[in-house]
Amino acid sequence: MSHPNSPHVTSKYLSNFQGKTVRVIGKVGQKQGTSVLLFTTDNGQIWVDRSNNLQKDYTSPIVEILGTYQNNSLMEIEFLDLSENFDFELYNQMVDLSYQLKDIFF
Amino acid sequence: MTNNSNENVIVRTITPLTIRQIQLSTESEGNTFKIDNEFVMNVSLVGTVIKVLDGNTYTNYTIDDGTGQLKIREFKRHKQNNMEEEEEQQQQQQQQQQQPQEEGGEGENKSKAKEIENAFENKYVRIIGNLKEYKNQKSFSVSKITEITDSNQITTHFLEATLVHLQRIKGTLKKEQTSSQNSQIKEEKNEIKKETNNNNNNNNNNNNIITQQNTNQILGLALKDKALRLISSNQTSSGISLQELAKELKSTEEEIREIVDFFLDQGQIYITIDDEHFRSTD
Repeated sequence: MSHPNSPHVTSKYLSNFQGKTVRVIGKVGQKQGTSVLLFTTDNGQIWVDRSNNLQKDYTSPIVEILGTYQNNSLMEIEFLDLSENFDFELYNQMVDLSYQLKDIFF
Repeated sequence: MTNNSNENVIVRTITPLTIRQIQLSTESEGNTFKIDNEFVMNVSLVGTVIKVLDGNTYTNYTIDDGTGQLKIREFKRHKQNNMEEEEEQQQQQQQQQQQPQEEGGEGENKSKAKEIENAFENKYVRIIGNLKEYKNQKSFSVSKITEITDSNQITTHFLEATLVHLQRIKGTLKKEQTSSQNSQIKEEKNEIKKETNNNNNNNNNNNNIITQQNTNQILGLALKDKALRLISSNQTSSGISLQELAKELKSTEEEIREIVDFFLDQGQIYITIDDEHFRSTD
């Protein structure tokens, strides 16, 4: 399961990653067919297309999605369940910080 | 941490890093890498396991932490497996026809190992390991790999890596505070020098006395600075005593008492076990 670099992003940075692989953490929302709505830590929303990974179900309400961003949705490659006490605000600030401090993240 | 020969660098800290930092590190002396101008040996990483390759004596993991991917190696140290492996090695050395038994033994090893590898695959893990240079290549050997159950550790690891990185390239906050104290003391010194000059110009007769007084004031400032530094550098819970300060600074207890009272009033130090022991509030 080799894939290129996948930085942690929140919804506001997604437009910079058109066609690229990213990691997005969020709260699982409603389902619509093979897609799931993900609420990101910066109060954004992104549709996650699960067609390539339907055999596994999310078991936690908070997940990290590894996927390719294109056409306003995230094509899921893989997901990871995260613990329910995950601090959204802290993670959000960390992602913002990683963009300010790029040199150890990018 | 001087480096006289290739293998004598010893670093006792564990540095939290991102894989990007490891990939970008090129500086090394002997076998030890330098990141942000400091030697690093023991390193902590947080990432997901995306690939596992199981061998007889080691397991190779590929870790992805969002900043890059790294291949790391964990040498197997299971006690049960060690005994079986020793037996296997003996059998291999003695005879060539032990294959059925060896396969059985290996099969057991493999299934146990497989259980472990599946436990980590596609999970977030924390890794403590050793970063070394081996034949011009980076090699990372794992001391400990554990699954992360509280996902906040992902966030805190990146924050720690950021903090340590910034501290190493820009200096700690403490240094900034000390340097602002230094500049405060320097300003005071400058003011006194100006006073000395004025006095010298106006009162030639009293020059010597005044200069002496002013010099004492300036020396007194240097003493205060040294005293604060000594107190700050003392990390014991009971702090440094008045007597020790007087001894280190080659001064009288009365003088030290004055200095210490000044800092107590300012809130820069506090008393610990009795009013002759002090610690810095930094």
